[in-house]
Amino acid sequence: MYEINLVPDVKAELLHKQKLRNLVILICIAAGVACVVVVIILAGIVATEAITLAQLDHEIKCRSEGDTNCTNTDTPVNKFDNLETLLTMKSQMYDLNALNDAQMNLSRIFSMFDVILPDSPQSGTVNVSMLDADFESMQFTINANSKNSIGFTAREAFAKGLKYAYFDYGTYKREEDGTYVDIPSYCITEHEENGILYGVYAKGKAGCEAPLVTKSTELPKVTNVEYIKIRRTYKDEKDLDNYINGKDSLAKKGEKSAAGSYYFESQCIKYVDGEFSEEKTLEDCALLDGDVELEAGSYGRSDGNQMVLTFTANFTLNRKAFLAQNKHMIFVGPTKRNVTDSYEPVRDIFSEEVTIVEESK
Amino acid sequence: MASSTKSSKSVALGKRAKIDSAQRYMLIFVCAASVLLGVTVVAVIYFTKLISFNLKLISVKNEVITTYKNTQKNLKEISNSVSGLSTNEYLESVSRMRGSNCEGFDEKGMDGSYALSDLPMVRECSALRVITDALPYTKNQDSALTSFYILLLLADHGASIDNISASDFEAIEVGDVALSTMKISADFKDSQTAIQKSLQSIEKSIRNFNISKATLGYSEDEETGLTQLSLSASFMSFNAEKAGLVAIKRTVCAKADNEKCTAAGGDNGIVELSSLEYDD
Repeated sequence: MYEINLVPDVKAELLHKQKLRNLVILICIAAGVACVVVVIILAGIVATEAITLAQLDHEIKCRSEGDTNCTNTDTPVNKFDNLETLLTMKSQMYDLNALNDAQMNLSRIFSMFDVILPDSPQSGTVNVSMLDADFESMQFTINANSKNSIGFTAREAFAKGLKYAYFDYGTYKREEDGTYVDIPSYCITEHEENGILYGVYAKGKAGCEAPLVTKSTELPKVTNVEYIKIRRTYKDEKDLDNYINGKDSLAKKGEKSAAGSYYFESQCIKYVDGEFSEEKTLEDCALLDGDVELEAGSYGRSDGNQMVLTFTANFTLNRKAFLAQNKHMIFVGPTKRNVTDSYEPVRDIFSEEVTIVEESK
Repeated sequence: MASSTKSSKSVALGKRAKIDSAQRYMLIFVCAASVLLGVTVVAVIYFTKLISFNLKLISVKNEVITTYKNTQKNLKEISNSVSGLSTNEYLESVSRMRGSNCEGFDEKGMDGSYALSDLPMVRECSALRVITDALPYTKNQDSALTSFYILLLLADHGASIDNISASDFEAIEVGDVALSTMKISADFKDSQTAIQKSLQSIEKSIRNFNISKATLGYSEDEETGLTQLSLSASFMSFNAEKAGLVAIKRTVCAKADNEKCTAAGGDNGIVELSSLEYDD
């Protein structure tokens, strides 16, 4: 008798299930281990970050308040003695620069008017009876009059003169160890001689290469002061270069010149092809900013029985011309020029207001 | 025959039971693995957010430390500069008289290597006193008016003063600098030359009196009937503000779009500004 024992379905299914079970368990264990590893890694990173944060907190505390356990963190910020005083002094020094950069010199107005107001038999002489100045907007308004103008000639001459007026400023330089250094402006007084502008350097005055003082409550004693005449104006660019190199074209025989050791460095005077260019100079250093607005003008007989011209003008001036930081300012008009900070007035620019009783037709 | 059938059946049952058992084991392991996976996913999301936030915190704290380092370095440099300037010969040559609190200053040997605790005396007595004269930090109307008046008196043949008055102090900005300013209004009546000399005296002053507006014209004296040039001008007098350190509070937001956090200034660097209080 034969018994055919074919692998029954159940056994086959069991084998299959057992294989599947083993595989599933393997996968689950592997997944479980992976999950645990990932969590451990992330927890480790968090722990490291926590340690880092604690170290950073400690360093911040050391640098702000200080602590007995601090090393190599310098003086804590809140432990600086007289911190407010120190910072205020630093702030004062910084603020002073800003203030000095913004300071304006009203006193230059007299020198400016002396240059731009017509004063000749041809154009007439113009005086100002009222000036209103706003140094924030640089708007100026004048009431002016002329007692010898022919018609409105003086008014036109004033407007034209102001349009073409310019200024110049700069620094006087002295040679020191092969290079040129600035001479402080308070060491120089300027004047004009035979049509040439000079700056006289008071070498030896306090602050002008004089012996300095330390820890003194007394004024420094003025010892030997040497007055050195430095040319400011030059014929052309070649004349300037020669002066810097020691050749003074205007020096008289036997006369000691400052050429070669001193010169004036201008911020406005421009040369084209070696020659002075008024056009180029006016580009940056024109006195007028914009146009002159001429308001109501009258020409007629005054109560003194004189023919007079009165007019009002509004104009905006170049701020640079009045900035105190721009030293050795000179104004140049159609017929004359004037230094400002060493200025002695030539004529009275201001006069009383004139009233016209009978206007000329 | 019957017995073999019976035993076959029991073997089959046994095998079925094993199949069931295998299936049960699979279910248990899969459930356990699922739970573990679920917990892991939650933990990963949590840790990832925490790590990201901590990285932000670390970055901000490093910035704070850099700021502290720079502040310490700057304070040290300022201290050295102030120390050096206190014996600067050019500043000393401006020749400001010392105050009465400076007795014994030279004898103390203040040659520039003083301690910061001596700073108030150094400020008043060394070459640095010129800075306080040029730009005082204490707001004193009388002192400013007196300084202005002295300038007018010192002018060589200066103008006669009709009237001087001053406004209250108010805050102003000159360039990018915050200062206090007081407006001084002055009226002069004299010749053109005298008025010019008075103006030049004011302009040469070490203390800044900056002209803002001016009106020049002729006016008649009611008593004498004389006409003179009159100047009515406004000058700005300045005072420095006391300086100090400010405390800045930084808020770091876990979520950049968290309205509550960003409304409190989070992630923008500045939430509160408050002056640090410290003893001098």
